Amino acid sequence: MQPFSFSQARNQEDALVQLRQSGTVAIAGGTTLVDLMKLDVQSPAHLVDINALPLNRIETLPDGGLRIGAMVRNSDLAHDETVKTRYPVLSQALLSGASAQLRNMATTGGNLMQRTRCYYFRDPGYAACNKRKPSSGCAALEGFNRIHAVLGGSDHCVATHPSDMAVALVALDALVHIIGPQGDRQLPIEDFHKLPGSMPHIETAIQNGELITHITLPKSPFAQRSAYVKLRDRASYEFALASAAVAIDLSGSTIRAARVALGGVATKPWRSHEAEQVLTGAAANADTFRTAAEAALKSAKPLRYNAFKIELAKMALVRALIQAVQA
Amino acid sequence: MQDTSGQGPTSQQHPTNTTGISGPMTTTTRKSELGGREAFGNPTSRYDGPLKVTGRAAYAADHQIKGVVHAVAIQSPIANGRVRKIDSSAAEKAPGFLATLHHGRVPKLYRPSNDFMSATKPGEIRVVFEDDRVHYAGQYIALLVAETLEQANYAASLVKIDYEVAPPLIETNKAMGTVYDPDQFFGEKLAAKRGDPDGAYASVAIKHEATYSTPIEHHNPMEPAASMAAWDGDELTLYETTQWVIGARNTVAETLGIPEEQIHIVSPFIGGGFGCKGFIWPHSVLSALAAKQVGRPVKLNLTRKQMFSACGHRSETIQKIKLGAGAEGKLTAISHSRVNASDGAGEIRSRARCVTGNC
Repeated sequence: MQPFSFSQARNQEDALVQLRQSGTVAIAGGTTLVDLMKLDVQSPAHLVDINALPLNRIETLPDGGLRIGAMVRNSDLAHDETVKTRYPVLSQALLSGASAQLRNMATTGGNLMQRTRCYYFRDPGYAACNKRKPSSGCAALEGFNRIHAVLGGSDHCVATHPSDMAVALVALDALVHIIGPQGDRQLPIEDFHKLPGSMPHIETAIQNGELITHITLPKSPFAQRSAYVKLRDRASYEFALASAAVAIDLSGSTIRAARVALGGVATKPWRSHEAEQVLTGAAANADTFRTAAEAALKSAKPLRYNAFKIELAKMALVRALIQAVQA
Repeated sequence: MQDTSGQGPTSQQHPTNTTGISGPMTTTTRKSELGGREAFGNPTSRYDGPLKVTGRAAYAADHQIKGVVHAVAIQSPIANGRVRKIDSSAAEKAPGFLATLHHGRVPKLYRPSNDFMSATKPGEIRVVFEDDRVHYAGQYIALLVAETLEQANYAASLVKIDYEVAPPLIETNKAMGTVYDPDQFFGEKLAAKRGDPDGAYASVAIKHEATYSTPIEHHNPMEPAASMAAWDGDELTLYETTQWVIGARNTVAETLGIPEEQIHIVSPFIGGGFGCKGFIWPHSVLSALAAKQVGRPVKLNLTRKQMFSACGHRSETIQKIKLGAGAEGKLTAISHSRVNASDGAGEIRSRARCVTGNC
């Protein structure tokens, strides 16, 4: 770990002023950042602690949606009654991630900013990592890439996005609210995370000096009938090899509308419009679900060690759809 | 557990000793516990349980010693090659820096006799910092000592090591040309043959022949390995994560070249071992060397990551089994030969090959 300085933000304005200084990074729960600092993967010169900002509330909006403060802890969000009953996929995704201790610290905004578990990214002993050091190469492409992405990869990076929560948020049409030097803005969660392309070190739409303040979930016809399935090497405290978040609006046995997102297999929380198209207007049965899964993984490109993820992701998606229908 | 016998305190009541170092047991308690009839046929609480679940049991790294400073081990990122140059000039200017130790910057060390029967058994026959060769990724290349752990970690990150990299041999199937038959393992002969297994196998009605392999397996107990060394004149006290205090004493004594009477091993509790706290690994020598050099007690804790490379592992095996039986199912021929992966730094498990005849 490299030496760094530390200060606390008194309020949002103060946080924005401090974040304008170069080399400054915001710290919330610290469950990713502190690890990466210990590993010498990230070495910010200055940390601004944003834990005192009044962004820790979950509020129902007048239009029936939900507003979640960026500092709401993952555990509080997972156990919130409104979330559990109206957006069950979000609660399930959160509770499938990390451990109780980590969820007690990790925040909603921080979860969106968490970084990949790619072994090569997390070990500076490997010189080649375009995400850690632009234009240095990618050790995973020809290396041990069992946990890497089959969707959304490029010749520069195939690291997966590790979040479970973000996958659920994609299936819930979440909006990310951001403040910054240029003013406030909001964008769909689908546009928040970036594909690696030729610049895998740029992972989100967040610009220098910006800060996430809230996530909003719209009132949704399908959120209540939703489910998250996560498949991994062990049943607890492990990242997904493949996961699926689905939300379905069901009319009798016909699917009126659906949202499908995949985790653990893609370079960003992966919305599958292809699967949604198959599901929309179709009968909710095993054939439909399998066809949707095939569509979701149609463009998958396996690497040397991760071809198994393609079938695994299909099974996760089918299982999630069955669970959502039965919910 | 309730003490209904009236014969004395039970294990749950008595830990008034709060240090956990000199042991929770008093002589009278021990007599009562072991001599009393209640020890038989009744559920008995684990004697050290209350100390452990209340956090009062002091494990090796928990001991508090005044003036202790901290060491961080620097490991090789390459699996084969040579250290060309170690440049610690930037580290030496870092806050809290006390010392760097590495090949060429340690006193003479001696390979211990490596005789299990006389209780000297290092995990590696090669002595730490013995030469500039790198035999495996994770091999200790240098040790950095500073006032605090954070300062030691930071200073360690400033040490520049230049390696001459050679191609590593990492696939067992490419090393089969180096297989040999070792004489013994822990004083016992490895090859054994009874009867005529090949002849018996040739004539049996039912045959089974198969090759089984097991992967490398790592032991990772809850408590990572740690060593804290404190010198008092020529006397060395080592607070160790060891299950073999005599082995630790003898092996460290032989390595340092000092009489074993001058070494005291303190290891009242172990937070799991699974095999990695049996033999004596280089960290136990490193803490002693560092403490001598800086003239202060030195604590050296292994990180969780270092537990995968610094205190052994169960090696990969390839096992060929031949079973022969008569039509009625009676076994008449058993042949079992196995090859164990080993390493160039001095093996614990030899590349063993043994054959069992018809038993």
